[in-house]
Amino acid sequence: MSGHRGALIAAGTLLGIGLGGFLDGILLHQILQWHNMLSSVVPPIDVVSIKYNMVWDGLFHAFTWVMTVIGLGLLWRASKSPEVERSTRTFLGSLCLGWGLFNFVEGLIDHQLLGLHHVHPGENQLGWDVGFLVFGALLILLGAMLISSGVGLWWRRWADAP
Amino acid sequence: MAAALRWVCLFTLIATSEALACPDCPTAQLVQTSVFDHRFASHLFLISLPLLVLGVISGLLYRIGIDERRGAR
Repeated sequence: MSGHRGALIAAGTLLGIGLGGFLDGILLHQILQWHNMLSSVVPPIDVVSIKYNMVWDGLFHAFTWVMTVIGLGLLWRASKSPEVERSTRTFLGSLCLGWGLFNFVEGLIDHQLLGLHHVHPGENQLGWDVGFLVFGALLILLGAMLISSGVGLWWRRWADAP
Repeated sequence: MAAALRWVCLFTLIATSEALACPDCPTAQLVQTSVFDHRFASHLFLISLPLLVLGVISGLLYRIGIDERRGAR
């Protein structure tokens, strides 16, 4: 029997993207006041420009909310399917993969290619941006390792089954 | 019914108190005008671009195992 592992991996990845986005928005945007969405286009230096960036941060949160909802929907669907193996490692790995993908793709597109904003604008902004990318890459690696080990265990159980 | 009415009253009170947060002040109006100007669509596309890419990647991940399953059938 071959299971549909992709259903759990995609659900976990979307939830990881959403939760990673929320953590980014809550910690970096709101609490630390870094990483505002359009801070390189309209630098947040007075009330109007801060509120302007706040609106775009809100729209970013709306998109991450959509990703989270789709991830929840896929997870619910996967939980009802007998063809999907419920592996904790695969799910945790997918969450890490999603969070890492979020950091890496967002960092690559918004910071490096489009230059919409930087993690910590000002001196050493490149260092912060590279750190953000490296953290994302490490999470992707950890997620891939966990998913692989989950798959290995799944195959072992399948092979050992009577 | 009474419980539902209590929730409606509570929600109305919250909504009313939020409405007092001066959405019509000059600063708020200036922000709204600035956000929803001619650049709104392009900015919206730009900020959604990473999430669109991530959505496509998730769609590709969803396909893992589908071909094996079809092969097994």
